[in-house]
Amino acid sequence: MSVIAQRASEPPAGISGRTRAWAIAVIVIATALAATLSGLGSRTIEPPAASVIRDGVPVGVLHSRAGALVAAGDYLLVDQQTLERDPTRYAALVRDAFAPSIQAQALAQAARVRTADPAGMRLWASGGRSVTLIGAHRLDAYRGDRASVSCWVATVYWGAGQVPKQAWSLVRLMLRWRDGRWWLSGLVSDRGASAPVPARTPQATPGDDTTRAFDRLLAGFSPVGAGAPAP
Amino acid sequence: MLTVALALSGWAGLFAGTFTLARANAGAVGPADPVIVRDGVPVGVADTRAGAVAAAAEYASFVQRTSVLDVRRFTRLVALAYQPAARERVLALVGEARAGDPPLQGIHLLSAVAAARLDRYTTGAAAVSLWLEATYWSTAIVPTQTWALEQLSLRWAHGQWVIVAQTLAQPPVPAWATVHAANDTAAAFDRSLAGMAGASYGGLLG
Repeated sequence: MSVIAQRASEPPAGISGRTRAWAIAVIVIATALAATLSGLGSRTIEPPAASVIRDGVPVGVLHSRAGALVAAGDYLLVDQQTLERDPTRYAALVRDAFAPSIQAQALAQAARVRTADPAGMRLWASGGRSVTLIGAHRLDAYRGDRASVSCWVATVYWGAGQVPKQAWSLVRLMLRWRDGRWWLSGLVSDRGASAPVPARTPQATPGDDTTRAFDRLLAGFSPVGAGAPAP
Repeated sequence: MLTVALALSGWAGLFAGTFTLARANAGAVGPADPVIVRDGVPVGVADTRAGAVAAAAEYASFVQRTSVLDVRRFTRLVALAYQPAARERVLALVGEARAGDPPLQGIHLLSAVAAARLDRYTTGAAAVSLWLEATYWSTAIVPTQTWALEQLSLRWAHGQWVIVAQTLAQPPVPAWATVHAANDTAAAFDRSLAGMAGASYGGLLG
């Protein structure tokens, strides 16, 4: 056993000195292994696929509470990843996952967002990158053919001339079940106004928050999940 | 003979294996899910490139969420998803780490997989790098965020992916775009995220 990493970070308020040792230490155990696995468990849940990929975007096809959560998360991720960066794929998402009644409105609004964010569009045009992650979700309502899901979501973005930054928001998605799939019937974002944001990031050091560090350390990484590029 | 490196740390800090798999991030693709739930824990059961990534993400996020806060489920994961020879050592290490932690009552932890990369995939083996985020808070701890960059080495055995190694690297840490007043308090987190859970596997893992 050896300590392989120790970082100069302060412990959160209220943490004892003893705990601090744990807070800043990463313990790595190296254990010689023989190999084989046996004695698997007894109760297994093999859920049907909650999403399928259609036109390169996920479509939620599991009519259950869990299926609604997965559909909402998948739709939100692709929405966040494509609205500015990939209008073609965003249009596919709208066509395959947005309720017909809001499709025209969604496309028009997306166009307005792109026009209103020239800095962002320049970033993407110059090879800027972004990653979206869902920190947490909650099924707010589920009534058979309708569901609403709240997500705490972050986007991390960086590129030439743009130091890596993270922005959190709270988003509520309304879903309707029709014709064997979940359709997005509404999406409300607080645009970060009320989203909780962690007070401390004790790991932050000058060297690892640069575009160069992100490009180097995250080379080849892709978002995890439906609609992500095949590994 | 293989080597396992299990990365663990006290929970106030750099817990290396972060995040829930944002299973919402990892919605099922195709006709069959690459991960099933066995005894309440995820098990990667698809010997494919995408299946290896899904398994690694699920394992890493589950470790993050349960190793300190949910001993019973973590123990089940160790039994199901770690190489047999490593299990006892892994549990002992986590127990030791847990003993050094502050009282855990009232602590909330949310974590997520931000991105992944399939580093290697061959017959019966894979290596996946993960970039992970976690946030925790309580009435005594201000909301605190950690990031981790780790690689899981997996072996395909008896119809599932098994963890054979876990290694760490210095993670990239982004700055904040904006922080609105009072949004960074434990009270704000309790209020805004009440009832929320990590977006884990199909919502089945809680």
